[in-house]
Amino acid sequence: MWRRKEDAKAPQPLHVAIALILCLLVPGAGWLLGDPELAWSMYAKSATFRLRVEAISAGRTRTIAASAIAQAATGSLRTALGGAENFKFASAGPTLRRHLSELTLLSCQVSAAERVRLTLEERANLDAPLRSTRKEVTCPTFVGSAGRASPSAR
Amino acid sequence: MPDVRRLGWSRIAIGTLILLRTTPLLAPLEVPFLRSAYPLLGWPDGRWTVATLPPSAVALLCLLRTAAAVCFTIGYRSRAAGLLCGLSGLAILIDDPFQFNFTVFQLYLAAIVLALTDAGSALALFPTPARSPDSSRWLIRTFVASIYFWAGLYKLRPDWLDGRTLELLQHSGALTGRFTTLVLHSELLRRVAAWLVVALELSLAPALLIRHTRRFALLAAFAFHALLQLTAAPDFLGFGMCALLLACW
Repeated sequence: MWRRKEDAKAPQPLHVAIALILCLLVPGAGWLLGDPELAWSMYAKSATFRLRVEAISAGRTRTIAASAIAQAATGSLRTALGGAENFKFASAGPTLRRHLSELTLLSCQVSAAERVRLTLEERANLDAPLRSTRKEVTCPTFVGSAGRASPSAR
Repeated sequence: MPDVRRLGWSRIAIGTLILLRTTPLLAPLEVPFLRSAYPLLGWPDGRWTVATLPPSAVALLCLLRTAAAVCFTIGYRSRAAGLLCGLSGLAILIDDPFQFNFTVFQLYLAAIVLALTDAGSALALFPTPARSPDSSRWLIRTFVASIYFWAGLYKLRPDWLDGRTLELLQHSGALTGRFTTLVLHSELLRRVAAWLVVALELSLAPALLIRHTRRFALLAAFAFHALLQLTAAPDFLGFGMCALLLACW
């Protein structure tokens, strides 16, 4: 009887608000926005992606392996990009897509090219259609603190 | 065991897991997923990153998270420490989303949730007065139940239910061991395992919330995580879930 009374006690308003935010809003938003990371999709994803990096200089195009770009990146990004020149079974595709513009800067830095073109191909799961996102930019003369190698240095 | 003591055990377990996962305490064991925890998880390495915060700010957040995790674990200003630990950890994850990892995400959220309960009222160096143990346990139960619900819901898709995702996980090396090989060696068995996992996760969510089924659900959940930890070794996620389940007992 005592147990039943205890269980029947209403939860505090703060606890209800926290429950609504963490249990409903955050994962629900992740679900709706196509970001399954927030919706507790651990160890159940079958997403794959591939990143093609093309560097264009003096009218010539060369392909750079995503792994080469990865070498210049910080640990977490290095893990995401490593081996991404081929289709990779990992869930970093949506995050890469959101940061593709920034990645063009890193590609400029690594390739020392005039222009770079990044093509991200991803599948949300094994049955999902292939989604392709492309970014092409003219590399700035100097990128970040490391800068770009000068033409004479090349 | 009184309710608040269970909350206290849960707080100690989550705080300890955060410290083990984000600092090099376990470095001698050379566990692959803990390599990034040196000097502290998320510590800037000076290389190119998408993070927008300056490296000094990220380093400060790492230090704050660690100090707060220590205070949270020993029960010194548990509420503020838990919030600071969870929020500083989340800030690092949000700043560099490539660092996202379910285990640390779950641990940070667990620290925040526990900080807002009476978890600092027992087994603490400086215990705080208990205000609402029942509501505290309700919040933790709801949080844990929601994790199972969303995890089960995400698996309701053809490529999971027909076992192809399990096959992919097996081929990628995420699922290893003799038991896994035995259980997942045919298409039919993979399909059965996939359905069982979904059924268990989706039934655990309501079963944890209903008083009459709670004990059975807790036993099933502990067994589920023990099995996953042995077969898939999913980082510290299973330990994190068990730490929260302690408070639901």
